Amino acid sequence: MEWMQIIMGVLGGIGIFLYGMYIASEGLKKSTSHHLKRFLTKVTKNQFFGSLAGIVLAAALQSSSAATVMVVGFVNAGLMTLRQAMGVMLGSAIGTTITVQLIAFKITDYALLFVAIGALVFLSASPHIKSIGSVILGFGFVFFGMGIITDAMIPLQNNPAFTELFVYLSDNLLLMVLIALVFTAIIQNSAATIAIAMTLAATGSLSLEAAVAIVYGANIGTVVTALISSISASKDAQRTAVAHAIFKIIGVLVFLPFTHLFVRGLELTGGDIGRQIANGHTIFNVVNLFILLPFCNKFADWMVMLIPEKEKTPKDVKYLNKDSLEVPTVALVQTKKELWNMGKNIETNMFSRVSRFLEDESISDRRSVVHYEDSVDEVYRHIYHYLQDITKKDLSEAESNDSLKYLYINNELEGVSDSLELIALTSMKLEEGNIHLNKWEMEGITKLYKDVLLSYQEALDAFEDNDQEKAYAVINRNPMILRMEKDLRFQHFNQGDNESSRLSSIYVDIMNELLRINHHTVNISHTLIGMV
Amino acid sequence: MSETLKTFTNAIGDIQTQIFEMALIVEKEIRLAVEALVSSEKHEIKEVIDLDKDVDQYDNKIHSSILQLITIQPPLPKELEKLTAMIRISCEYERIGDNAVNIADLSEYTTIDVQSDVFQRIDEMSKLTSTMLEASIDVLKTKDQEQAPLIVESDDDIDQYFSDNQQYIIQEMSEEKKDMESLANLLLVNRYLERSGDHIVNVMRQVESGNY
Repeated sequence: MEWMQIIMGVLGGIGIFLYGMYIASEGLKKSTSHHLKRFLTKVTKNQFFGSLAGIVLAAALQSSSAATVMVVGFVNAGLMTLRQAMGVMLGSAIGTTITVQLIAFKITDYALLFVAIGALVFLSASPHIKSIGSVILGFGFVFFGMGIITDAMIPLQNNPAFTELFVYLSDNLLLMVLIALVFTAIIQNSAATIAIAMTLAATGSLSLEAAVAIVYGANIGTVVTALISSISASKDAQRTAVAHAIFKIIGVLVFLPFTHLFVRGLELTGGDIGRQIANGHTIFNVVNLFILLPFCNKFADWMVMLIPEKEKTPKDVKYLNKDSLEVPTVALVQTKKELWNMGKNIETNMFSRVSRFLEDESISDRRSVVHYEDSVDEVYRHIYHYLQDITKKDLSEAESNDSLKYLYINNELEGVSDSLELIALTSMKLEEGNIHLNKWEMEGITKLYKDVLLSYQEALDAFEDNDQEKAYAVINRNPMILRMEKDLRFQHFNQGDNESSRLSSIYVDIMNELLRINHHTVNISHTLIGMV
Repeated sequence: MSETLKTFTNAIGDIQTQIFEMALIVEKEIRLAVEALVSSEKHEIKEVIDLDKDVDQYDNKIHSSILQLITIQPPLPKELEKLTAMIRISCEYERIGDNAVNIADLSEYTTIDVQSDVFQRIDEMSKLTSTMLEASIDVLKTKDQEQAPLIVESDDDIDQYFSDNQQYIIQEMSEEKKDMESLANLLLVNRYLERSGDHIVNVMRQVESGNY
């Protein structure tokens, strides 16, 4: 069962290796992440500093994938522009070469010593020192894992089939690159791939040329993680990740024809073959940086073309128009229309459906209420950002007052839709538990619902016509609605012959949400008459 | 969207400002009404009546604004005390305005010489009332609880004027027996001024009690 032994050894070794990387990078993150954020936002003023920042970042995180994911996160959060991110990413590729250089030290024999020291420090010291302990421990595992891989592969040296395979691959470098790419993408760690190449080369199974091809593949493979993590992220984040991938591919395409020369050069750098591979990795990335750094800004622009801004305003946003931002007065009018439209949509698509599923238990209405809440959220976000953009302009006092009011109203409307969604979700529990509100409870809720709806409609009207009288009317109805809820609650607990505590809690929950909706409605009216 | 956004505290402050404005008009009313007693043209009478219409409007507005504020948003207990005190204060000032109108009404049927001893006494008394009124507004603005009792004390002076004037006028009546109507009217004017002082005292009581 020799093969079994080899596979187990290699996979187990990789496992320990990756776990070690994880521990080390967690430790580094813990001790540095706070400083990293500050550092990154300060140092990325231009591409050059950006790439230096990237080197430090990736060295600290022990992974260019992690660094890219972090940069993508920053871009996503708007802390960094796409152009800045390009530089950081190029730099981060160099940062990870430090790991590989460390691995090339071949201290596999002392791996367990590292583990021992690391564990000792980890167990004994204060939290800050502890993370240093876990870094040492992590590297101990990395070397230990490598030792296991090396040992496991010893029998392969004498296996003619395997040797032939490598000879074949050495002649077909492109295939080698692809294999390394896929392998790296799967284990999500370029250092591990290169480390395996090192052990294979050290045993003589692999030529330096083939090992360099693996380095190429590993470099491309490492961007897959970031690509995957950017799928659900913002456009800028996707652009960053795709740019990273293109950087690496360009690098490999540039190097590939000259691999033979490159290998010659590496042999001159001295050290054993492991060191030469590590140097190859480093040089590849450094050269790549210098080739591509001047094109960073261009790249950023190309990426914008390649992944264009999808029509950002979704179908539910009707009136907001980016161009109008230049004329805040117009933008405010549009905001008002949009808000009113949002309110009307909540009324027709959510509010009125509540009455339907209160009367007969229509599951589809509930679903569509829950579903519609997402689109309200979307509109809410757009209005919010639009208003933020408006406030950045030069506004008159009345205009900034209006935009403030709209922010309030936007928020309240979103609150109304949240509560309506909750009512839909709560009433679904009725169905799940196969329980029913009895007749008078249903009548009570419906009565309360109708009054809350009426107030809501009046508040919307008051908003549309800027009608203070109506706004006051809504406020004046509030005590009546509060009283009604109290009466209903009393009725429920007093004469209710409820065996089901669940039913009781659902009943009360629905009433609470109705009250909350009314509260939002009253708040809207407050805003309309100028009270905060 | 004309109304500027403001907080509850701001809204209370706005109503307070209205009370100060109203109190100043009332003070003007008293001054004009007493002037009307000795004026030949009596144009002050109409002026006082017009001013009092403003004051009544102020009082109504203050009253309804306070009720509205309470319905809009439940006030804190302390705020509720203050708001009810404000209704009371507004009412007291409004009553002073009514006294001024009463005086103005009487002045139409009153002829009296500016130089006469009795008018001098009435005039001094009305000036003291005006001063008290102005001082009371300052106390409302500063909420100076130490000033309030001083104003309350000065009402004793007004009371002194009242009883002195009353005796003096009765004396005049028994001696002169000619312009009885004017003298009888002055008895009432004397009374109205004294009542005005009492209303100012009531205002100060709200400050002293800490409600306002």
